[in-house]
Amino acid sequence: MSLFIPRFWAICTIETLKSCAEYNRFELILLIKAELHDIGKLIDTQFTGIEHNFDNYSRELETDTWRGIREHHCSDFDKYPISPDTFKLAIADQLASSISRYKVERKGTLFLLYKLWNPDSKKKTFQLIKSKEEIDGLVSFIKKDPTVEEFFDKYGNLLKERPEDVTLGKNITSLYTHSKLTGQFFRILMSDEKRFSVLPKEFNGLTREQVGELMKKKTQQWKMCQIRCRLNFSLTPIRAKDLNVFKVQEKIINDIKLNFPDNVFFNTSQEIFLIASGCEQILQKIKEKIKEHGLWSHITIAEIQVAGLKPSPEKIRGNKSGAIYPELPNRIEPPICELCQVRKAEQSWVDEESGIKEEICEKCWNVRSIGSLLPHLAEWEKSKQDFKVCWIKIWLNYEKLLSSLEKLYKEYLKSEEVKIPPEIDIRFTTVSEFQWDYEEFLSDLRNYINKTFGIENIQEILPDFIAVKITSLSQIKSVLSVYHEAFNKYFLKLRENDPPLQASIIASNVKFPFSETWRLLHDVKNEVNIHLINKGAICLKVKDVEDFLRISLPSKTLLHKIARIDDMSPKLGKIILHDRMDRDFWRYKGIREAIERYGHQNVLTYAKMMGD
Amino acid sequence: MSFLEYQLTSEAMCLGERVKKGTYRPTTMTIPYSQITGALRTLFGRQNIHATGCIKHAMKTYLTFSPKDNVIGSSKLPIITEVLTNVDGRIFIVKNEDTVDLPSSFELMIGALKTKGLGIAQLSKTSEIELKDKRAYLKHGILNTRIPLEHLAKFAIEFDEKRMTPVYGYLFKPTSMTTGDYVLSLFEGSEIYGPEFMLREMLP
Repeated sequence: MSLFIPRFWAICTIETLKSCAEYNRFELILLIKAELHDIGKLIDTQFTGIEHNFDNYSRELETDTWRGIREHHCSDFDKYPISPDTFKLAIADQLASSISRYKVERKGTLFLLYKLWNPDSKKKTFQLIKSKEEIDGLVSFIKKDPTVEEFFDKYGNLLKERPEDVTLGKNITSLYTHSKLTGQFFRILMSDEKRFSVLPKEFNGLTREQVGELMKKKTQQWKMCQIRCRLNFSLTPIRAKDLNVFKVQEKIINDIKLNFPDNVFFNTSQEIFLIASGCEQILQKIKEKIKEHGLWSHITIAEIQVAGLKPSPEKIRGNKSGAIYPELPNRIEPPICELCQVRKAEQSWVDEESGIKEEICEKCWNVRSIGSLLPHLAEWEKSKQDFKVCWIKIWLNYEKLLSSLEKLYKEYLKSEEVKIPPEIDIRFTTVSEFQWDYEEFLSDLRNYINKTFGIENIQEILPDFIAVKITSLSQIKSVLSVYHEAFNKYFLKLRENDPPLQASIIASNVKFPFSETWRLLHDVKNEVNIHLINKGAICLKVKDVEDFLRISLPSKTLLHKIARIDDMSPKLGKIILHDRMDRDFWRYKGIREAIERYGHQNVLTYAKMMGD
Repeated sequence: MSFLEYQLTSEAMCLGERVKKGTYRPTTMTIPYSQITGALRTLFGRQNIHATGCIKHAMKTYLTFSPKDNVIGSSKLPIITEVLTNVDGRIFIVKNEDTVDLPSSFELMIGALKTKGLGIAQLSKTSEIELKDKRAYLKHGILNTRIPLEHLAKFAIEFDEKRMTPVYGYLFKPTSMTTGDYVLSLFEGSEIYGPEFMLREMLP
């Protein structure tokens, strides 16, 4: 497990050094920058004849990163791993490949990245390095032993365009993601010499095939730990300052990322997925954070051989699933904390304006006392004006994500007429690749909303949780359009495949208690869920949003009339819409047609929304 | 082990949680052990009653009222209370010597704001559930009610902290007419092994 030392340097424990003492270059082992191992893939092999490990290239360099580039493969090339570090680099390379290297038949090559969730996003071809000057420049770059940051700064864009594997059916992840993950896996393997033990003498006189066999043997012997941690809180947010709890949650996730940069393979604002040589240190950190802030966490831990690593610990036999709570006594004497109701209230919070006293515990007090991390919300709460707030929360369901990716991958293989292997193997690279896009999607969504409503009317609570000040419910239509646009831009193909993304949109008066809003935000029945407090709910599929927003509605006066009747009696509302004797019968035509397609409640709630 | 199953219907009730912000009283969306057991013990004057329940269907509305301070004769800040209306619930009472002769239908008061007319509930017996074969009735799933840890066994619930994910909370346990403690309990959403009727959803 990596510790608090510079991130992009391979880490070597004392054990490593001892075990490598007989290896005369041991002091340089620390210097392999695993992320650069496939830098040669940026060169156009067909044009130049130079293989990605620089076979057929005239120069040899002395740096260890170069050694990693030359030796990290044990198939097809003359050079292969003959030292513990390049051996582990080769294993890391395998673990970070798009899919298992042995499962998909070769059926031609394609230098285009095929994003399973949005294949059309990468239609443009890109220019690999061809000229002698460029190649010399690249080699000189390696020679000066750049940092990983320098590498990504210089070649990041090209790395994001170039698939890691150009074999048709395997071109689903970028070289960028592959390089990052190889670096992470490599440092995990280097960090624990006891668990991942391989001695230089084990390579003595081995042929390439024998090294391949050794690799297979070691990946079956070595074990890694997978930890999935989902953070929760018991606090019921009531005041704007209580919403700081989301920031606390985010801070815990960020702290874990900062402390274990090489171990985090996926995260959202609520959950984090880690891989490590052992789980004790990470669990200890999580427990510390939970104790410090009074949150609780749902944890799944699974230990598995390196060869069998998969991004779903729940599917690994022998996994342990449970919860980590701060210490909870069997009995609490009153008063109990009014907010979290799991600790004794020890402090009295007195509201300056109303004089209302709240009995709360130390942890909830701390959350409130952080100050206003969400300044707009605090301002809105105090405002004397009467306006509405639209809460937008995006949920990413991890289990659904894995099954959607599997389904999309099968579809892709079928479309390319590649034989579908019996077991589809969605790996960490694909999940990470998705996460880059997911983060960009959230960022784009926020930007669109900022542009539409003005930055002064937006409060970002979490990257996936935004509050927008609105003056009328009809403005939610813009939120829906913006969400739909961003979704289509990034996840077009997911629309048809039970998307793992779900949007919750709640519109309520600014004074409406947030605890209830939070409960409703969790109530995700469909892909897009809209709750208009005291008006009704709309549940839609993402693919229907565009057409739904095009429903032909009558005038505002008529909308208002239908809404009022529906409020009094939904049955009467239905009768009036279908009553041929009603003078407005023909004006309701659009609504009647929409009801047939989307249901009465969805359309009537929409009518109420647009009539506001 | 046997249970008496009752259907609970009520026009309006508030199974109140603690008041928030001094002005807002949320309601639970289930029938906790403490609420229904307390109500039954008060009604029948027997102590060996253990019951819990869940809500099948209810609508949520809001009631705003301003409690009057009788000492100074003025009203306090208005309180908004969440109220469940048209409630259809199920109550499961552990069958024992104190409950075996409970009437097949009766009316009881449950929850908060009884003085405002809330909490009148009608209970009518629907069946008796007998759990004979443990393997047949114990299912893996998500709990749909709130039960103190100390009473889990009475409801044939098996919970292993090391293997299952709990949602902990505290329920009030009276120790006399005027005092009480909060005891550690499993809340709805906890993963358990238990009788199917206690579960909100089954897990594989």
